[in-house]
Amino acid sequence: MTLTIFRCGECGRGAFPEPLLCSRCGSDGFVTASVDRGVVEHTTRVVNPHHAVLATLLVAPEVRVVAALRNGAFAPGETVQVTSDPDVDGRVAYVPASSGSEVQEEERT
Amino acid sequence: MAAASIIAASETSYTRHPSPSETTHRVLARAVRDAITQSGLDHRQIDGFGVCSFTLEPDHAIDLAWRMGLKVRWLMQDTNGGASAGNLLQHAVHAIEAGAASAIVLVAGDRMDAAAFEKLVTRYNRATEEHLSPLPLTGPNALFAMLTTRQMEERGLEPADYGRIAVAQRSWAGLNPGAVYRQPLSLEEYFAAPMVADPLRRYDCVPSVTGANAVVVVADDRATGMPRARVLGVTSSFNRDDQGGNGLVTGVAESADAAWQSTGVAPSDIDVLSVYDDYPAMVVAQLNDLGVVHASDTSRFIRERVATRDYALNTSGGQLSAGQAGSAGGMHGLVEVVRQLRREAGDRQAAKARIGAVTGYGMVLYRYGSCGNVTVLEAAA
Ligand SMILES: [Zn+2]
Repeated sequence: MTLTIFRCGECGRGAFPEPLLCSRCGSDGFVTASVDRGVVEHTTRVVNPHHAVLATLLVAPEVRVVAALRNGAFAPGETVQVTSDPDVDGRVAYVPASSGSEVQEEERT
Repeated sequence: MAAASIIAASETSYTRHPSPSETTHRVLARAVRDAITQSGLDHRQIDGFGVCSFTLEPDHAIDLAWRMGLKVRWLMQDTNGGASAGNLLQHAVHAIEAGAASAIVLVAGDRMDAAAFEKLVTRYNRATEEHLSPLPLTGPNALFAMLTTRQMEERGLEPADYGRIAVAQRSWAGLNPGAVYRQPLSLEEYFAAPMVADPLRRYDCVPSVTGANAVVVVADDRATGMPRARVLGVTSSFNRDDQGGNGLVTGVAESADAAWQSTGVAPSDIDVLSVYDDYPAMVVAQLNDLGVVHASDTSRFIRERVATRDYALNTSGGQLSAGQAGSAGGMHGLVEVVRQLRREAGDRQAAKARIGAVTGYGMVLYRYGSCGNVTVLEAAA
C-alpha cells in the first residue's frame, strides 16, 4: 500500500496532509497521487518507545512527510519504500494516511 | 508614539506536580487576581479580558469572565499556545487605541499534568491526530530533534552550543525563586543526561508545569508616573511556509523586520530579551531571525555572550528551567521582560533595562511551529 499525497488540479502543486485550498493558486480542486518512495532527509532515534527511528522524507517537490523507518538502518540521502499500511513488513517507511478523503485518484498513465 | 502600556505582570507559582484540587480555572484566576492587585486598579475598572488555555474545555473566555466577576466590553480568546501572548497583546493594544477598552487583563495558563499533556500532544490538531500520533512518538521531541540536526548542518553548530544555552539558562534560573529547576547544571551533566531523541538530551526538552501568567494593559496616558512597559510594537506572522520548508527560519523573522521598521528600534538596542525556548535550537533560530546575531556568528555569540550571561537572554531561566505552563509558555517571557523593565527582577536584574523584546513561537501543525511574533517594549515611569 502506497502513500496518497495531493496535487492541485490547476497548478500541480503537491501537498500533504490533504489541503482545502491550494497555497499557490487558491484552487479547491485536487487529485491524489500515489507515492511509493521517498528520500530520507533527517532521522532521529527516540529512546521511548522502543528506540524507534523517525525520519523526514521528501516524497515530491516541496512535499515532506514524517515517517517511522522500519527494519534496518537508513542513511540521509537514501531512497526508501513508502507505505501507509501500518501492518506491512519489511524495510519500509510508514506514513499514517488520512482517515478519509473525497479526492479522486489521479488517472495513471 | 505608544498608546498602551503594561502596568502589571504576574506569574503564579509553577509546579511539576499539581495538587488534586488544582484546576486550570483556579490557576488562571490566581494569575488574574495577582495582576489586578499589582496594577492598583479596582476589579471593576477592568473593561477588557483575553485568555489562552489548552484545557478550558468545555468553557470559553466568557465563562471565565463570569466566574471571575469581570464585566467587560472587550473579550477575546486566543488559541495559539506559544504565540498567544503576543497575539493577545497585539489585539489588546489595538482595542485600546480604538477606544474599545481602557484596562485589559490578559491571562494564559494550564493545569498540565501527565494526562493533560498526553491528551494535548496526541490530539493537538487534526494533522497530529491522523499523521503523527499513529507513529511511535509522543509529542514534538522527535520533530525538534530532526530540526536541531538540520540547524547544526546548516549553521555549523555542535551539541555543546545547545548545551551552553541550557546551562546558561539554568544559571539565570538559580537567581529566580519562581523557577522549578534552580540547581546549577554543568555542561558535563548536560551531556551525561539521558538521550531523548538524538541529538536532544533531557535538558534540551522543556519541562511541563502547571501555572499561569497575566498582564494588565492600559492606555498609556492613564499610566503616567507608574513604572511600566510601554508597548512600542507587536508584529505577527502565521503559516509563512505551509510546513513545507526546513523550519529553521520562523515567523519571528518576518515579524522582526516589521517590528524594527515600525518602532525604529534596532536589534542592537535590545537590553533584555525573552525568546521562546521550547528547545535550545529554537533559541538559536530566533536570535538569528531577530537579527541579534548573524547565523554564521552564532557559536561565538553563544560562547561569549550567552554562556557568560553578559547578554540578558531568558533571564528567568526561560521555560527550559522555569517550566512551560502549557499555553502560558509565551506569556512567561513577556512577564519576565516587564519585570526587568520595571526593575523588579531581584538578583537577576539587568543593569541596563530600557528596551525589551519578547518573541512568541508555536503551534506545531505537522513538522514545526507555524506562528511567530515579536513584541518591543520600553521602560517608562
Ligand atoms: Zn494550485
